[in-house]
Amino acid sequence: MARFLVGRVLQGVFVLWAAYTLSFAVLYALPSDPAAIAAGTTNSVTPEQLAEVRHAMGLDRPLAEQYLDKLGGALHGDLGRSVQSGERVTSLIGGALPPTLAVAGAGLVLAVLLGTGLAVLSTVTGARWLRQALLSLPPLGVAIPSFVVGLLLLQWFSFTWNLFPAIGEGGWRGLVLPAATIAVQPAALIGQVLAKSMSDELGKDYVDVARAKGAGPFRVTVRHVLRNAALPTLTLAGLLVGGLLTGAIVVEVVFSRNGLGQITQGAVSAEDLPVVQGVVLLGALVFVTVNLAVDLLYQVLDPRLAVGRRSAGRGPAGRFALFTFAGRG
Amino acid sequence: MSVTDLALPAGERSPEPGPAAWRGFRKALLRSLAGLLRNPGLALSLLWVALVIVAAVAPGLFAPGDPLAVDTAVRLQAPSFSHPFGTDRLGRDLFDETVHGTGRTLPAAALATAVGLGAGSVLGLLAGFLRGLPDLVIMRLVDVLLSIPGLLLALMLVSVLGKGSTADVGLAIGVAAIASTARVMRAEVLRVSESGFVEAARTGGARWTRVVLRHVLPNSMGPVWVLTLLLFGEAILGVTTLSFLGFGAQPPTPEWGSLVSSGRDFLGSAWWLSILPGAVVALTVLAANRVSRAFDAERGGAR
Amino acid sequence: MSPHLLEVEDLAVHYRVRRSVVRAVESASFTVAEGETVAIVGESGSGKSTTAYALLGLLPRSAGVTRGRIGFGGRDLAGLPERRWRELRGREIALIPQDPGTSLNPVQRIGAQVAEALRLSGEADRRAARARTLELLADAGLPDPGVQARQYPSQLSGGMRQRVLIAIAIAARPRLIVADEPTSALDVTVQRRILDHVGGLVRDSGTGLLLITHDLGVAAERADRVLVMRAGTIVEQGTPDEVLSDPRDPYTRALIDAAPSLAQAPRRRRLELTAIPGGAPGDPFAPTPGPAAKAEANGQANGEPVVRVEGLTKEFRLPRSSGRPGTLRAVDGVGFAIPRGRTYGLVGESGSGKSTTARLILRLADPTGGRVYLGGEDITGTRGSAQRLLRRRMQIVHQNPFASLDPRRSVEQLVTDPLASFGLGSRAQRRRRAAELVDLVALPASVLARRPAELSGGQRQRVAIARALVLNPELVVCDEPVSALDVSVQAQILDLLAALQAELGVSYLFISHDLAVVRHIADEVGVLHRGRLVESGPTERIFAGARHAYTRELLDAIPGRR
Repeated sequence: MARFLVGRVLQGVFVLWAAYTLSFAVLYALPSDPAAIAAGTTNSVTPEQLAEVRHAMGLDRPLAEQYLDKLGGALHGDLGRSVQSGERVTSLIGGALPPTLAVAGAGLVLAVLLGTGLAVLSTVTGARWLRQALLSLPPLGVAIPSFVVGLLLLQWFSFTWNLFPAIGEGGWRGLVLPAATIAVQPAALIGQVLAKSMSDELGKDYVDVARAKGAGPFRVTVRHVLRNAALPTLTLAGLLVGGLLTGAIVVEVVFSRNGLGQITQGAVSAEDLPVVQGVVLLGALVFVTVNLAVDLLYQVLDPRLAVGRRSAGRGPAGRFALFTFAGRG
Repeated sequence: MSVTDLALPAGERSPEPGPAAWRGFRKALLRSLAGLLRNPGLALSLLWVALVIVAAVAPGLFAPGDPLAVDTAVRLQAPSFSHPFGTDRLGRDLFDETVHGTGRTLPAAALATAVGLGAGSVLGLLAGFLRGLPDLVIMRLVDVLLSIPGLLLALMLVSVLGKGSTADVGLAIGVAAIASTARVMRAEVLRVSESGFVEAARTGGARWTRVVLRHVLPNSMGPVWVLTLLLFGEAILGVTTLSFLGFGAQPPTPEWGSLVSSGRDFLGSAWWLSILPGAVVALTVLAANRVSRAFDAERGGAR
Repeated sequence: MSPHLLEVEDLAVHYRVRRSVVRAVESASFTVAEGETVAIVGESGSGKSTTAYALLGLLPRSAGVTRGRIGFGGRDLAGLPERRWRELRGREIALIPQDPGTSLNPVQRIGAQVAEALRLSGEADRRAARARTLELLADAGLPDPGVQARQYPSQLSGGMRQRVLIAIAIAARPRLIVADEPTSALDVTVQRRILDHVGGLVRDSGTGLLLITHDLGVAAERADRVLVMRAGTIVEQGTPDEVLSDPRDPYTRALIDAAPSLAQAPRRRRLELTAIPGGAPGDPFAPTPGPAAKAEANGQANGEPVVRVEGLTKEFRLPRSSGRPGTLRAVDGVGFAIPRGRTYGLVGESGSGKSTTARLILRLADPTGGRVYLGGEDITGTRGSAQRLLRRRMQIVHQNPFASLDPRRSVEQLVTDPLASFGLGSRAQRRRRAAELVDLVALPASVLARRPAELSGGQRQRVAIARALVLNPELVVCDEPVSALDVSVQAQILDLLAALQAELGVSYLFISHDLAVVRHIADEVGVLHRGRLVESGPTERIFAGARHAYTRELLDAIPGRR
């Protein structure tokens, strides 16, 4: 177990380093001029001023030197300063994180509840029409762009029925619509994958044995099928949390909320590369952490793995490649 | 015979497409058509996809008017017979704008699909065929790409590629899709190459190239069709989202995402300005996904 | 109360598949008395499993009882609402399922799964269930119930899992147990022990047992009465003696003939081959060697067997994460020889190393030690193109004809694939050769244009045999070629292989887990146990007097041999 843990952590560290290198390569090695952006795009900038800015930003040094320098800084938690405001990237992101976390967290809880509820209900119900109605929802939820969902909710709940505020942070009431918006896609994904997985499990022999013991449909679904079906769904977690982060960008723009999304949109518009890189690294960090947690959880939840590792040494990741793909919808 | 089989030229599938092969082909075609009639949802989806593609190629067919023609006399009018989608704050016909916007959104999504599918399949195939070190290197690279949420990766690319061009947006979305495509392709190649008939071909004395070309590739292509449509729907979502955020086509150039974005300010008073183009996006993605699922089901049934 | 526990009258079960109706069970009538064991024998698709699941009310949603009566304990179960069924299942009628590998919930402990059966039937409360679970596991023959109750299914062997399922079935002391092929997924020696155990439990408690099986031998040995089912109808019923010695239905007769375990002596039926293809070994289009050359070849052959292996050893490195570093010796010092035109049968249970041995001989894997000779020539170290050329002399027929044929190619393309791989013959020549071989394996010429999905299992295996023979190889490795097929089809394929050998002079390495099957085809038999060849010799010598204890155990496990 300890060996497994160390291996996974090292793998995570490698991915983070590689993500850093990739973002550096894209942002700094490609032919664009961060200095020109920093100095402003007006024509009044003289070449001398530009060179000065370039020197101050360290852009006149060889690429390899810049890379090592910046990587060293990143290891010490220093991701540089925003080109626009001059604020430290880490404190800029840190300050924007709480409101985003609130929306994303509420959205995740809502998504898990809705998705699981939908899958369980559609499996347990004996009514054919209800099952079909429920199962037609996920494809819809996956297809509607989240900005349209947000605007629809605004139109109905704020402008037509006046139930929730259209903008702003004010308390939990301001959180309801953004959280609902952000939850639609992940809920649809969870519902889709879990319902499919549950119907696969229902066809397995152990379900017949449970029914032959005299177990009813609810017991079969909740006690036997759900836990087995939840395992493949768990591999979606990293993807879902990553999706929540990008979902927050859209939601914060739609609802004019402050947070990471606003900062990201602003940074991309202004080509504020250090901030863009900071957000990308945060995304990778979240993904790596969540996947590490899922791997550990798998060890606890799936007794086959403890044995399987002893004999075959194979993890769950490979088997669900297609799930992962479908999960990007 | 499945829909996927129809996509391959008949000549490749049997040495001599004699009258029998042609009859079989026609029978399968008729069966597919009959299947469509029994499945109105799929038929509607196919029809919608076809309409949208026609609108992208020849928008004048549906909307002969100039989408940018300003008519201040009819500002912010609700949908009516003469303006099916209503009009915006300058009196432009929203239906015309949406139809002409197709010509921006769809090519960008097609570019994204081509990039994602092309690069992704090549990487996945290489990893699956070569195994060993190349597999390790490619899959680590894929892991890294996957670790950055797709939209964020696209945003990072957009911030250096520049803004205001739908082609750049399409490219960025395509790059973000490479990793997952590569994974699917690799899994598929591995599944096929571990199957009994590949070993049978090897014991039959087939060279490596023959095994790959005659047995592994044809049997790995099935999911590609499914994937293409799935990716296409996803690319439409990505492209319109980036446009909505203001990184795609700039006003007044009509594009689905930017239409929704510019209608946002009138949400309380003129809901149609953002909701109707948004509904068009949703319907298109829904239709593409539906067709993709039909392909998948056909493939499953054929096995 | 009627003397019979279960009275099934004119039962019909239909499936709705897409728009058509599949009549799985057409008309089944039979009875099971208390303490009686009744066996239903049939091949796949005969409706035997559907009958079993109808008795438990566990038919899939698409199926339904359309006619007939299931009388049990004085009432009719056909058309009973689900709620009533739930009260019956477990308490009155219990199930022992087919595949122990998938029939236990993989994420629940064994103890909890047995206790659930007790709790659901109201047999015991939470407290009592614990103690009773351990008793039941012990009754089912598990060696250490306290340990196994805390384990997960994946930590148990197949035989132990089946014992757990038996414990679950007997938990609520049901009056009838339906056992659906309870041992067909297990190794033969385990099979026998499990069936003995179930038989004992049933006899002691007076429970009725309905045993569903494809194996007439098992049925005849275990049951008080045997029913033979075909295409949804019961065609024969009676005591084992009546059914075996005086079958009234021709289908039963055919089944008895086909069952390898029931025949007392090896059966060598002559099959008339319609065509005898020519050509040289490894190249069917080369001119047939003249009588002189043939004699020379035979002369050479007399001295040297086709294949000889010496001290063959294969070790697999265990994954490092396994905790016990080291190697697994899958094949351990195996040596034998196969004379020209003869068949060597290699017998062993799963994991005995028989398939690995075949792969080593075919040079699909590299041995850790030992040598492989093909026609006197050492081929152990060949690689690259030399290794590829060996394929012209050695071919394989795989176990699973559903996996070994590329689904996208026509039969003609499949059969001629080895020719195309080696660039032998013109297009027209290959086409003629394909027609010749399809005819040789007794398939109609119309299959040439079809794809594997349109063929039955037996037809597919014939195609695989045709493909293996297309190059005129000297050796064909048959890796469990009939174990995925129904008994009557099995017999046909075995006959075909024997006839082909007689005509073509090809040698077989015949791999099987079933000694009874091997007996009908092999001239010599080798018994593999944990990678070692524990016994080897002429087939009749082994059947008459096996020297090794393991061989005797295998022989005893053949149903019908007492």
